[in-house]
Amino acid sequence: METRLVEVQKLKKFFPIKGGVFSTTVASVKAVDEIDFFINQGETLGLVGESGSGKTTAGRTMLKLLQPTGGKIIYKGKDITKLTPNEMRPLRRNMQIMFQDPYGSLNPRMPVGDIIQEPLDVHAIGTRKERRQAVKAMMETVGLRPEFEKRYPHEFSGGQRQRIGVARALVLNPELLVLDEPISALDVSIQSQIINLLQEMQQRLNLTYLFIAHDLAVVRHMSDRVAVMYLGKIVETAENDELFDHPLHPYTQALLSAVPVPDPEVKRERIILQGDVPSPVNPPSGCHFRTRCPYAMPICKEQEPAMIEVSPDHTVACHLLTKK
Amino acid sequence: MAEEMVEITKKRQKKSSEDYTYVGMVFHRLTRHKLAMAGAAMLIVILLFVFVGPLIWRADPNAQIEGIEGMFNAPSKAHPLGTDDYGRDVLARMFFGGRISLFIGFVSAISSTMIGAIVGLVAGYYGGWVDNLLMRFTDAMLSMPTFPLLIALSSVIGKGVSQIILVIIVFGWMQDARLVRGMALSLKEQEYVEAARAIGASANRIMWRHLFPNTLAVLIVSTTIGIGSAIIYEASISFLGFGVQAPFASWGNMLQNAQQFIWKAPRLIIYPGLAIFMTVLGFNFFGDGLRDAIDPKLKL
Ligand SMILES: Nc1ncnc2c1ncn2[C@@H]1O[C@H](COP(=O)(O)OP(=O)(O)O)[C@@H](O)[C@H]1O
Ligand code: SF4
Ligand SMILES: [Mg+2]
Repeated sequence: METRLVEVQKLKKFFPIKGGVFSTTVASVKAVDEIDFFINQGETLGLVGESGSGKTTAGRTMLKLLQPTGGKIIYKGKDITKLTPNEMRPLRRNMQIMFQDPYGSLNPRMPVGDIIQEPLDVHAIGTRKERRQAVKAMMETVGLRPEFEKRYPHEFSGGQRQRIGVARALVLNPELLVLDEPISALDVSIQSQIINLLQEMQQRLNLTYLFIAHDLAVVRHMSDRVAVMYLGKIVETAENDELFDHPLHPYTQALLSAVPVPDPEVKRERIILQGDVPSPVNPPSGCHFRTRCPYAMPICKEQEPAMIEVSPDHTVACHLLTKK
Repeated sequence: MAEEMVEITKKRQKKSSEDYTYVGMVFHRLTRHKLAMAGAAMLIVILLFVFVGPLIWRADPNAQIEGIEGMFNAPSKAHPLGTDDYGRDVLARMFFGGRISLFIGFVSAISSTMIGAIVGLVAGYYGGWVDNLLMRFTDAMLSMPTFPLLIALSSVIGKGVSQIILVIIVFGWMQDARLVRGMALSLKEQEYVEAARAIGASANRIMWRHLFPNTLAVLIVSTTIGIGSAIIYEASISFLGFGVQAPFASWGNMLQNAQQFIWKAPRLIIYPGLAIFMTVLGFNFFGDGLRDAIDPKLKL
């Protein structure tokens, strides 16, 4: 029986834009606009979408690193939306994040041993000696030489830095890990090493991943289920193979058509997306995708398409499907 | 053969740029900065003069030679820099006055930088009304007329070394507060700060373990230049008569005292004046060099 580890309902995160003499809120960036998803214990949910679609914001808001503007976050059946930072602290042991930028995510003035040890210090786990021991063991686990604990981040390569990031995120033995484009800043030759490490860790520690990426091939490789995001909305969610073999939303189809198909027998029509992504400050009315959708209809402008379940565990928000 | 040489030099360069720690890198760049080295040389001379000098020339700075013939003696074997209006040995007074001036400079510059750092970190990290309140207070402090207030303050707290230090701190932390606030505002957006919040680190921990160490290099520069300013400040306060009180010497009060005898014994002005000038210039040169050395965008 699968158990839901985390779930978000109608999650919203708007960033106010201040302006004018009295710096009042004149508008807001609708980075995440009422999204729903869940992640089961031990699985990987892939979250894909173009840059700026709100993936990072969704991940951070789910961890309450950003206070949601609306909606609910339910962790292990408990509503954590309204918890204060102090009430969140014990929960932070169980939910961690790994960042995209191997440079910005490590304090340049801290030796890596201290960086990896900090979570243990914050949660006052074990004696000083035990913590140091745990750090060394963790470094070994992620493929770093423990004797490098006194070195500073700038002495490591991009791939090694991401390993440091993994070590910091895992040293508390968490349940849930948000991976925010963990390989997109790395050389292609290094990417697979980090992916392998993440998969190995998931198996060993029974981790649950929210895997954020814009590279669809990697998402397909990593995920059990995939959610597609466009301009603050989730437009389609499905089990991995189902989504890649039978994409239903025009945006998903467009994204997939841009990926080279491994089997030359399968001919896929290439859909070129027209125009730019509209601003999340003033997203199009109705369906957010309508300005670039090749199938846009009058109703798409007037009414926001509802999320409907077309088959078990495959949901799509598009008027093309409700018409039938 | 030539290629091999290129390889070897490449390897060497690689070692020199990557194997250095941050401190080592800054030091390396500093040694290539001519002005900084000139400043360092001046400061070494001053420090040797003030701290080693008294071991060689053991005269009591406060001992007076009685009678008219003891006063305003020209430099001689008995008094290498002559005597002053009380018949005291000027060289010995220069040693001890320098110690006092440097002490005031160090203590007040370091303390005011620390206070500025605390105010700036809290304002920048918390933002919102905390930031508003602290920065308006900082602005208010910056727009106060320092010298009239100083005179008022001195009449309340009295005169002396610790009072001078207090006054310099009270009027000296604001620039650093602004500097650190600006840095904290941008540093707190860094992902490693987000990472610290993700592990549940407290605001205090983030400010002191993550933001502060990243402002330290800039603060050291500011403190270095601040020591020079504090020494000037001490001299100015002394000039108003609120400085270190007789019979104890500081370069500031030696200068102040000597102004009455500017025609009679100009050397009494020249010695402390030159010492202050060299010290302040030394700290400024060194501080500017340090600023350049920690700036990774600058080629040295
Ligand atoms: N702190 C912030 N303040 C204002 N706008 C933000 C902030 N963070 C993200 N945004 C905006 O929200 C939108 C979504 O950003 P993000 O979540 O980073 O997208 P993604 O990770 O999919 O690239 C973007 O338009 C971005 O400019
Ligand atoms: S709702 Fe309309 S505009 Fe949106 S994806 Fe479907 S067809 Fe295109
Ligand atoms: Mg992102």
